[in-house]
Amino acid sequence: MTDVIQAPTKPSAARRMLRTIAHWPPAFWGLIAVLLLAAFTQPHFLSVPFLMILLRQAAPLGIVALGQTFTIANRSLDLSVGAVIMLVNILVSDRIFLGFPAVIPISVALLAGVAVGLINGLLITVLRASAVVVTLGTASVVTGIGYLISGGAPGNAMSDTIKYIGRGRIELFPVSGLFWIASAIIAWIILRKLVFGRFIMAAGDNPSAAHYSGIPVTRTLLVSHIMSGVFAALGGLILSGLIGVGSLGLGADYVLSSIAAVILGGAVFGGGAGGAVGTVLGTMLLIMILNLLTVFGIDEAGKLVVQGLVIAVAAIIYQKSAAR
Amino acid sequence: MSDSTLTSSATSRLSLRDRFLLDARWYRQRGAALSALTFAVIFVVLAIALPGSFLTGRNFGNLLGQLPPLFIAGIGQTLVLLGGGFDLSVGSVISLTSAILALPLHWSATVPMALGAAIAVGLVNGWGIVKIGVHPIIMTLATSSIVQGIALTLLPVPGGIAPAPLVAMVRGDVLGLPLGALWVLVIGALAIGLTHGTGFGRALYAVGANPAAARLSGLPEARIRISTYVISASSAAVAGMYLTARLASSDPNVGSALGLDSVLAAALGGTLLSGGIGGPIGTVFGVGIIGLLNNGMNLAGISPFYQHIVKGTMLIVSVSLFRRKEVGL
Amino acid sequence: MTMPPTIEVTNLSKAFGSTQALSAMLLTGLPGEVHAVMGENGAGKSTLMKVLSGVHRADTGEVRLNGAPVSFHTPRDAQEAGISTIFQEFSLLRNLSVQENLFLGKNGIPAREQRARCQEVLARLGLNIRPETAVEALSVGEQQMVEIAKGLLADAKVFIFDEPTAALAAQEVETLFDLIRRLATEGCTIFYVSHRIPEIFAICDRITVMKDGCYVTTLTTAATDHDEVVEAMVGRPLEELFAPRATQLGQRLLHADQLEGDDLPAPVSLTLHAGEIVGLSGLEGQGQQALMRLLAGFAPATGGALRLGADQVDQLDARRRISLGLGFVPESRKDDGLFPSLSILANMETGSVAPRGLSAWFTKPRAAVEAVMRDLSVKAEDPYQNVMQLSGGNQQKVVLGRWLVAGTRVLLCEEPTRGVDVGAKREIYLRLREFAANGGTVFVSSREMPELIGLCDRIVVIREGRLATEMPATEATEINLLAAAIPGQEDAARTETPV
Repeated sequence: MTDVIQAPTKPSAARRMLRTIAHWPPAFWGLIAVLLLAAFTQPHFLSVPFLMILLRQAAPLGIVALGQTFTIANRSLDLSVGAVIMLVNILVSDRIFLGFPAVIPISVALLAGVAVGLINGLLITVLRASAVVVTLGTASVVTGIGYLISGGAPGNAMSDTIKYIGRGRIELFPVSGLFWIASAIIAWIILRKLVFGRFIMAAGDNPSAAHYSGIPVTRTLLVSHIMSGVFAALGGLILSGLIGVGSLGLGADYVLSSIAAVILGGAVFGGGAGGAVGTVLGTMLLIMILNLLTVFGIDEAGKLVVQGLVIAVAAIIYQKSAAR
Repeated sequence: MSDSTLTSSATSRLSLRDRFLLDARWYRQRGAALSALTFAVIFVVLAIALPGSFLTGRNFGNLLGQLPPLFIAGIGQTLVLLGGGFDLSVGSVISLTSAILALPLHWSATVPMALGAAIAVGLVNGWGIVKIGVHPIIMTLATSSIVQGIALTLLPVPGGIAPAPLVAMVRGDVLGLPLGALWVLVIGALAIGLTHGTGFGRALYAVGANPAAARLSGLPEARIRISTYVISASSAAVAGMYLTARLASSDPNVGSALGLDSVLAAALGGTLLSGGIGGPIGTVFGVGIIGLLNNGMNLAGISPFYQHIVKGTMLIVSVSLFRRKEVGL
Repeated sequence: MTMPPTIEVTNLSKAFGSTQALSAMLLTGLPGEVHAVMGENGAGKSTLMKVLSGVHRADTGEVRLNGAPVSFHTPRDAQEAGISTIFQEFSLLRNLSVQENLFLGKNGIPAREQRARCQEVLARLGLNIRPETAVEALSVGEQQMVEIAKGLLADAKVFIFDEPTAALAAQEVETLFDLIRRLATEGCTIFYVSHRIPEIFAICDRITVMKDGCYVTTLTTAATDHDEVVEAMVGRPLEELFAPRATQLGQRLLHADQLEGDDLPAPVSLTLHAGEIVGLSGLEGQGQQALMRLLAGFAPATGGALRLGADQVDQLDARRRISLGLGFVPESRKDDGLFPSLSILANMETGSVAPRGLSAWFTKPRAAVEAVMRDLSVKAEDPYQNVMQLSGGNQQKVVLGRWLVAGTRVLLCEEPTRGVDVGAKREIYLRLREFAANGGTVFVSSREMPELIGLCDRIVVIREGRLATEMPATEATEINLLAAAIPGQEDAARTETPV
């Protein structure tokens, strides 16, 4: 019984460093690799103007993925983000808002996101139905509502403010990029600096243990889904501004991309890893890869393949390392 | 603790009704019964509301021609769900099949290629999920994306001519029944025979209920779970062939809606997403319900936009009937 | 005894990573004998049985069945060789019928023959169940009988029972014992794994004791007594493990007055004072969990009153009670206690964070956690180390420490030392005593009666969901605790009603 009186032993500085580095998201290493590849093969890729274009393109996905981070870290999933984007796009381009200040359609859009998130969260926590099925179901319903509102022909009466948010620049810097940065800071504060973030981490890692520690597991999950809905709506708003018109079927590919970005950012369905920074890096990596593919002449189809491979490989690597 | 009321002495006094309700087969198929009832109710309502257009031979012919792809894909999905899994890649495999059939090769090459590709997808899914331990949704979401990408690479835009023998197999009648009905009968009989008449079927129910206990009983649990993904992908390929033949040409996006619908069909048929409860009999009615609702809404002239809403609502309702213990995925 | 042994285990060793679960283990089973295998938690009983039943493979050593060496790769191999194991967690599939369970994985037998053989074996066991009945609809005792039926069907010569009475009602235990005796007279060898000494003296012929994965001794039941068995198991007098008891009690910290819950058949009254540790004893599944969780607020109170200090809390949820100074340590550390991917710090902060609002600012309670880690002497590199890298004992300290960080006064603790080695046990006992001495109170449930007797100041016994008896720990013995725990004759008629 020599272990009775023993202070915690101090690990060596090197070990501690290694442990910290091991916690960095896969996206960090991926980004370094992609940047190196770009530097040697496509140097213009790293020019400031081009990076700004990338930033503008990445911002909507980046924001949607930040929302998806909440659900995935909470051991859930939101497959309705694409439908929310589509609904927001149809709402803000609808003629009904002609003549109103931009704040009205913007608020309506964000409220729609809250509503979808709330409904998802309630169905998942109250009915205890699988998050995958619930959000697939609400995605279908929300898409139908979007079609109904548009009557099959979406409007193009979008306020200039929204277009400015999506396309505008301050000097070279895109306005949408500012929104992305602001969203990331907000998400980082929520996940790292608020009690809510600790609840997500605990409930995502072991819901049962969280319950017996007194953590309000269902309320946490509910709020996570609301966050996902809001961020998806904001992403949809910016994407709408970028495109400038209403368009049926917008956002469908954001479901998969947002999940890919979050997984690249290190979060794999609970487990306490990943977070706002990881997701931002994940989004940047994903957008870099997709644009590099375009440069190398690989089309949309190839991008789907790469995106799927990224998710599969990241998940397999995670699983292998967790099994150790 | 309510089962402690069923001590041996009580069992001897069981009424016929209790005996029936305690029966394991009933326990696993009660969802199917509910589903059959729902199907009957919708049928009667439609027959009363739309006698002129619903109760016609032409309408039934249409229905029987449209439903087989969903039915075939839904059966595959049912087996995956029974084994405790989930397959989101069904739609993409249907699309891939269609794309492969459009390759400029003889059908005797493309048909086996399509089937082989599907089996490969199923094996990859099964390997990742069962051997590596990736969550089924993540794994099949990823392969779904990859497979869809390959489909679009092979056939960027709809086109090509469907193989003539396949077309001949979906058009026309046999003994007054449209050929689609024959596909349903054959595949339905195969699936029901497989799940209810073979050791594999019993093992599947065991694995879905509790993989660890099934392994302890000496069942090849991993092989069974992997094979459900292979069956699901193969049936998706068959669904893709039917669909291509019916459209007479290929479309690389033809399966996109069927991934979700196959889950819906299985869930509406009373197959639980947690595994071990339900089966293909219920899926027959699940597909029937979807078919009748779509058909009825078309006939009644309701905007197709509502169909999204109805489908989504049905999906949520059907999975909410039986509460799970856990919250989340 | 000149009969050749049915089964003979020699020199068996098995390691999991760096932990040696079994080393040079010996065991011999004669035809017609009931042979107990005993040892403390973690002594290696389960590993040994899992090697015999084909779940694990031994690293070295030999198993001989009827004189011939055997080696099992899968549980099925063992079954086919004639070794049938009835595990604590039944391996039955709840969605399948009795018949389907019995013939699982055995193809090629016609349905009619299956049904006939199933009925025959059910009749042999005196079970009045239709073969088509879903296992879901059976009672725990009936499920166990179906497990045994599996062995009978396979014509097993060796039966292994792992804690078979754990979940059984009293008269189900009698049925089981009758059956075990009958199997023995038919020439089978029965290994009976349990730490319930009275049961073992009632039914077993010989007792093999193991400790720390090693063989200690084999005793003949008729020629030994309770104390000799305990001493062989423990290897040292128990008293050394425990700290002195409380000398004086403080104010009332928890007071349940006729508290009612859905899972308890009768209202419960209980008072806990500052400074004392109170034990909750009883046979398996008598409502210990229901009571603990009712007090902790994880099951709603349907009547009566509960006070924490001066606050009335019976209508408050668990989170509010936690904010008022309550803490709960669940029985299953792995499933309900730990956050396996998170650091020690994150694991220990949850108790203090949980009562706070979602939008409140969070600061890591690092200093508080480090202080508690020092107090509990958690052996770890630093608070950022992953909790799963710790030993079982240190993990348990982390779960306990969670409530020390939160400033808990009333600690409700299920199985405080499950899966913990002896050294860590001693420390946990000392810390719990220290916690009480510093003005807290502990209510602890445990399956291990010596633990309750040594650790607690008083012990309440729960029987069929009612607090039946209370006694000072100084007067408690395993025998009178057990006597109080076993349902009496007048109670036997009531056991058919659900608990």
